[in-house]
Amino acid sequence: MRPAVSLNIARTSIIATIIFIWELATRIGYLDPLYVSTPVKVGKRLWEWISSGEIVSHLLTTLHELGLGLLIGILVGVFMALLVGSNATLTEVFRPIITVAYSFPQLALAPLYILWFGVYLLPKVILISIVVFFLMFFNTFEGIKTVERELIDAMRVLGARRRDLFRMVVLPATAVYVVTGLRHAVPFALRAAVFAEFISSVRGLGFLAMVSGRAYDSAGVYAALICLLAVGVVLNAGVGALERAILPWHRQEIGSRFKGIGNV
Amino acid sequence: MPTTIDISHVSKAFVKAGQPLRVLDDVSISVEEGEFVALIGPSGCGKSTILNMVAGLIAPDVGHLRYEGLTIDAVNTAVGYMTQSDSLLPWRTVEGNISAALDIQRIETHEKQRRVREAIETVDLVGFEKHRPHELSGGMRKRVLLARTLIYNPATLLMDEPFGALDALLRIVMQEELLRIWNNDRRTVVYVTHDLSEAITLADRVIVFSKRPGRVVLDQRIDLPRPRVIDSLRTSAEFLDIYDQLWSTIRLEVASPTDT
Repeated sequence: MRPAVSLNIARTSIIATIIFIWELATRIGYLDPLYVSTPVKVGKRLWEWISSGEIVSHLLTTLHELGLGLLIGILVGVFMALLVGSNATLTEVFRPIITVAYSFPQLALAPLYILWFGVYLLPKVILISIVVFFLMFFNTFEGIKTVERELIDAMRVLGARRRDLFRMVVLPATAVYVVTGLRHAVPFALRAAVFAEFISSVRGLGFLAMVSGRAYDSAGVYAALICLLAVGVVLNAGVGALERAILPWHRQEIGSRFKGIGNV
Repeated sequence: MPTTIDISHVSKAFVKAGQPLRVLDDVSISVEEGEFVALIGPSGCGKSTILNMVAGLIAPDVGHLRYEGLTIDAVNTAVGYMTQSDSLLPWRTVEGNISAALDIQRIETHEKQRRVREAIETVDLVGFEKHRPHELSGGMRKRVLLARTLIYNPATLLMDEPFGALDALLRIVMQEELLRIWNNDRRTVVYVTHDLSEAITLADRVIVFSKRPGRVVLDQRIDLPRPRVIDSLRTSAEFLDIYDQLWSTIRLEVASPTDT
């Protein structure tokens, strides 16, 4: 058997075992289904939401927030990092300011954004894009600052000017860090979306989990969490596909690259 | 023969851990057009610093460097510089790395492809055009570096222990290759090494440096006939004579007490 196949069998059986024990424990009365629900009930609830179409508006709301927040955060973060990072004076001026701003727990600003921008889309997009901005800015900035001097010098002797160096060395070298930034930013964006929806919202997967909890509907909570999990998995797979597309030369081990993420 | 590189009374110090570290002390070397010069000396004696200065990447503290009569005060793109470290672009294929200089010069595609193909044939990498650096062996990466350096036809080659990281057998293969390529055009070469046999095998002149701060202690012509065949050369009586004579000087230099 190929290792990948046996690994997948191992993973599936671990998850299946946990689900089975969960179901069994509620059947024999060891766990109270009021609090932990049961896999069968959660499955039923998911099916209800999907077949009735109820889930669609919540899913779309959260995806909308995530999509806009990620887009704005990534574009602004990468652009600012390229701008600040490739200029010594701007680096001096902005680096400490942004570092201090980054040390601040961004999520704590959520109540303010809701106060300012209401309970709909805007405060969520702002919160997500700020969280994403910092992660993208710092990773991209790090990328620019760690471009190997030797590569730059080698290209200069070959006749490269500033513009050539940017195109041939800085940009591709930084791309690795941009993708690392994305790997961090995507799950953080999801957290920020849920957090903002918890505080105040009228729709969304986080909202769904919260109102289900308030109604003592544990099956609803789990069903909403599974939807969030699915969104996270799909987004991560998207980053993985992007990485393979733009960094075919970069063989990476995901585990070893999750370093200093910082507080959000 | 006109003088290609003129290094006169050059000194250089770096600041290391807050302390000035003198690496070169009043070095004067003049390299003629078409000459193959080897610089040899203990590590840290400033050999690489000299190449960096000739390439215009750093400036001397004292003294003067000229290339073909003109003061070197900016990056010197007339030279091809093969550094000790592997400076291939990991995101580019073999072809893409070799064509870097042509990309910078905006050479049109057809001409570029032709020259890249030619260079790939010269360094014997046919079949590896689409490979990326991480898929190549150490020797192949050196070939790519050599091709990248040769493709824009620089009048002078600066080589900093180009094959130092290779095993002994592969190093001889690469030296043979270099001699074969060099024999076709006899361009000016400044070759840094700490391997005395390599220096004698390749060069017309071997310049021996002292320990840091580096000074020139010996400038020796190597009058071995060309083209040289490495196998027979290394066992010849002339080679061994030159080797012994140079080695006695170097040993004194390496063993002498130092002031740093």
